[in-house]
Amino acid sequence: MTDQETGHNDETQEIRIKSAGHDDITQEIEIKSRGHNDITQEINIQPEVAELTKIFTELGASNELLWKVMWADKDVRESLKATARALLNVGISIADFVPVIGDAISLLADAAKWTQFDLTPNVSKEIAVGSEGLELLSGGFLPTHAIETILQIRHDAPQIKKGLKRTKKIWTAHEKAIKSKRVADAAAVFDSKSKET
Amino acid sequence: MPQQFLIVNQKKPKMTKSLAQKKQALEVLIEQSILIDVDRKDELIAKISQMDEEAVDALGKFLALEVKTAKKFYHDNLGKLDSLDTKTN
Repeated sequence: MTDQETGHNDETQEIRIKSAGHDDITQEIEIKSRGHNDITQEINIQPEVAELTKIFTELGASNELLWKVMWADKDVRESLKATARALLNVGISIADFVPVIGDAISLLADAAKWTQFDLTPNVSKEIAVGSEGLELLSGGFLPTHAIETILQIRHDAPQIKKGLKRTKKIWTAHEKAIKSKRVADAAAVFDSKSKET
Repeated sequence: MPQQFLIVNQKKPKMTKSLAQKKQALEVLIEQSILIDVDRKDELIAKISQMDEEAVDALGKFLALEVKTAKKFYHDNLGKLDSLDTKTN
């Protein structure tokens, strides 16, 4: 189906929302959409959130057992929750670009505010409901969930940073312990390769 | 010559650790482990004296593998985390 058939030109629609956080963190969500049949969407969240998620994902894949100690730490646990929340909200904001289905997902996310699965706990119900009004005005095209996403990420950023520092502290301490001669010698006792010398 | 042949193929003797040495090493590995609950470490260390060699070897190999895996993980990821932390400051 060509652009002429669908009635859409190759016009690029761009929505850019920026918000400066309290501690000088610039949060940016950039969404580009080109026609209904060829939607190109790009969302750039804070680089540190994306990088932290990547590391956490690698951590899960390469050594799931390390999750245990990280999850046991309150700061890291809250940071992981905030990171997961940020990712889900960004995903919903992308989906919100698609009329009808996206709106339904966005509405479900708003409805979840009245449950224990609230993805934007630090955004008021008034803002969540009010943003849906904008959605109606735009015929379902505006990804209004991005407003709640930005506000929530802005709130969560300090927690994510705190968790990052705590994670670093835990990893560094454990690395120091396992690199000590005492632990290396103990591990060598049970290492089949080093038994035969 | 037969004698030379024997010398070339002679394997180095295996260094066998005594059970007491293994138990001592196991205690060190339990202390550093992140897989074992901190609250349970003392209890587990106290039980080492009752463990037979098979149990000591099994737990020891598992915890030695934890050390090996963790070393690789930190080598691969700690630098990334450090640079990320520097960027966010």
